[in-house]
Amino acid sequence: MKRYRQKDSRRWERWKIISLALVMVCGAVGLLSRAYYLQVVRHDFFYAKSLQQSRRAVEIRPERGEILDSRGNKLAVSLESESVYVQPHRIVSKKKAARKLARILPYSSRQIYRKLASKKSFQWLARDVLPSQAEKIKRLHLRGVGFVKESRRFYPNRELAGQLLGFVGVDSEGLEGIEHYYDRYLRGKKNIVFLERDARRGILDPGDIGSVEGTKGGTVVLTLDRAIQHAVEQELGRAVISSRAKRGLAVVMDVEDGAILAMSQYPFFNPNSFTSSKPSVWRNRAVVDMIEPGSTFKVFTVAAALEKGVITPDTRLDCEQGKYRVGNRIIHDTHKHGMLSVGEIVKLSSNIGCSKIAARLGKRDFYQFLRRCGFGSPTGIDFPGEKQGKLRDWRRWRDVDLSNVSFGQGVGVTPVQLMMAYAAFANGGYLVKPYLVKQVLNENGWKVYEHHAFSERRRAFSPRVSRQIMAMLEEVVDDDGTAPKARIPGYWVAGKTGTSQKYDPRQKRYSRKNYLASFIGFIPGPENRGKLLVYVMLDEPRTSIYGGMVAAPAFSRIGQRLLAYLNVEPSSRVMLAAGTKDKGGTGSRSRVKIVDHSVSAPIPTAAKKKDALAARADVMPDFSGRSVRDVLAYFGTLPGSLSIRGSGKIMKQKPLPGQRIVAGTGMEFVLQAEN
Amino acid sequence: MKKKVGGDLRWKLGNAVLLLLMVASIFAYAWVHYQVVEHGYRLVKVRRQEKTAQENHKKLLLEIATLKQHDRLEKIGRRKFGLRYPGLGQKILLK
Repeated sequence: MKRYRQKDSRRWERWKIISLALVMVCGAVGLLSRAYYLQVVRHDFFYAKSLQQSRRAVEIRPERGEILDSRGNKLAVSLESESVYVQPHRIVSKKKAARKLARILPYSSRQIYRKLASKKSFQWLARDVLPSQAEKIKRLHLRGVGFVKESRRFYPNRELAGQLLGFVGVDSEGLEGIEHYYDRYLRGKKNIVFLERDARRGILDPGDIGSVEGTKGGTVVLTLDRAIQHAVEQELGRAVISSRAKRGLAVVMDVEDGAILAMSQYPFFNPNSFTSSKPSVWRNRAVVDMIEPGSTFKVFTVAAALEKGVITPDTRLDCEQGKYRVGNRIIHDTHKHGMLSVGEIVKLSSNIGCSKIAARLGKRDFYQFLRRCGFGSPTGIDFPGEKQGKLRDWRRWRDVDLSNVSFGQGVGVTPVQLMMAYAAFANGGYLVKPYLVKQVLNENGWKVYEHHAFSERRRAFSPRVSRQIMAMLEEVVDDDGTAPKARIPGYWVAGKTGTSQKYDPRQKRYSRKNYLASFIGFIPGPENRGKLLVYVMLDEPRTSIYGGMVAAPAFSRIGQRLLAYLNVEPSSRVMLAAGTKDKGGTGSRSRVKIVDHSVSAPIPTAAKKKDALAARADVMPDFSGRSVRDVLAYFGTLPGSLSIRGSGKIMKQKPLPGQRIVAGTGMEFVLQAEN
Repeated sequence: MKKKVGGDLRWKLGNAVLLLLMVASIFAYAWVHYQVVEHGYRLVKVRRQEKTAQENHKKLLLEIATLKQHDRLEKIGRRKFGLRYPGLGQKILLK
């Protein structure tokens, strides 16, 4: 019995073990088959699901490229900033949260509470907050308060070249100006980065999970020079205010390659806060507005006639004592003139003279010449919204229209169009396309775009005509010309005034009190550049309507600033009279006299300087008690090397006073501060 | 009999070493995995710091550009130091 029981119990234990083993095996098989199902059969589905949960694709907006001036100064840059938003329905204690936030943000707790109490699901609390403020808010750990990183455009020079640079919208898209025109280069390509998240949704690893490579926006390098732009803006602002004009514009261009060195207009505009200005102030009127050029256009009538050979510079025409009938209209001159040469017609800006020249030329030839000079078609400047101007077909001109066009009425031009055509007078008759962007560099500094000025130039008229016109324009700034105020002492200058009546669309006739006063002229450029063309236009000036009275002085001041900045040497010399010294013998101030005033060459050549030196005494003067400045002023170009020791006034000198100076003589000066 | 006892001990020792190795490799794997995760977090932090440093650098450059504004410098020059632009003939070029 006992044995039977023992046997039975052993069997029972075996059964238990077997059944347990069976259960375990079944369980293991079940688990394995489930694992197989999940890992192998449904692999793709669950893999995709896990990626969806653990990975996050972050779209990183590319950094917008910078805009630099020609010397590498930053004109527009982008920075990342944080903006704070709230989800009002998620905020538990709104009053308490508003109090806490008000301690950090520049808003009162009441203002913040109003936003927190909003019924909207999303509300901006503050855009572009400072990093320190964002950090403090984050430390509050407020539920329902979140942050969004945004890119913001900054223009560090504020109003400088505002209309030219333009601005960008909230999504960093260029909306106006260079920002708009070169948007395709500036904005770059989006970057998508895949990040792995942990269970707390924190970023686990930004490793090589993968990314769609974007590119940073390119750097746009302008032809503009920040210092020139500043000088031009300052002088333009001064001219507009002093003439009580409505607005004004000024542009500086290199006549050889068409590079725009400055383009400004008043009232100025700050692109950092563009919404605070009227859209009319955003306009870059030098490109997008058409004006009637007035007398500045007369030189084209003369140039067309000279080119055609119907007149010569010496041809004399009767200017009818200021009154002349063309068709049913009587043309007037501001002053009565009798017989005038072509040069005098330009110099005195005679409407009647120009009208007669145009009549000799004929409508068709005049029209064709104007077309060759680029009028009636856009210049192709790299700026959005350029107008093509207005030049009606010659077949639709009446006699009076020919006469009007000859002195700049009934024709519409943009300031850059006028400048492009004027530049041809100074570069031998070539039309060069004005341009604003020199090059675009990618993020590695490689050129992706470069402007080639000389490949796009075409001949408008002969070099002979350009020389003849330049000679006439030089006379305009003479004492008896229309713009003596445009002169810059010591420098060669040439140009033309313009005074044009504005068309009044309400009265459908030319206004009797609203005028455009302008001056367009040339100044010598630095050695590495050609001449510079400066255009100044004042809209509705009140102190005087004449270009020669209000625009020419502004031109002169701009020219002076530019010439000093660009280190252009004067064509006349300020010279210390040899051996002169103050009677007291202190030598504190030198007596100077100005010589060579009428030299017309912009930069004296080395040969001329040598001659000048030879013509003066070749004996070393006594410079004791004088400054090195006096020495330099005396010699212009030193005959040999110069060695200076110390600072202050000259105490010792070599060669000694009275010794002979020859080319190559080295000079030594020992200076000492005055007590 | 002695042989059997010796073989049994060796077998047990072998198993123990194997088990120890397995446990050690599990720990090593877990430690390596932990380190990977930790380094991942550290990397994220460092990259954030790098980004912030880059942004700060850019902000400083912007500040320099703002401080170098011609208008600002001119005002300081005029008001603080009584400077003015040189007149014609006051500037002499050294060549």
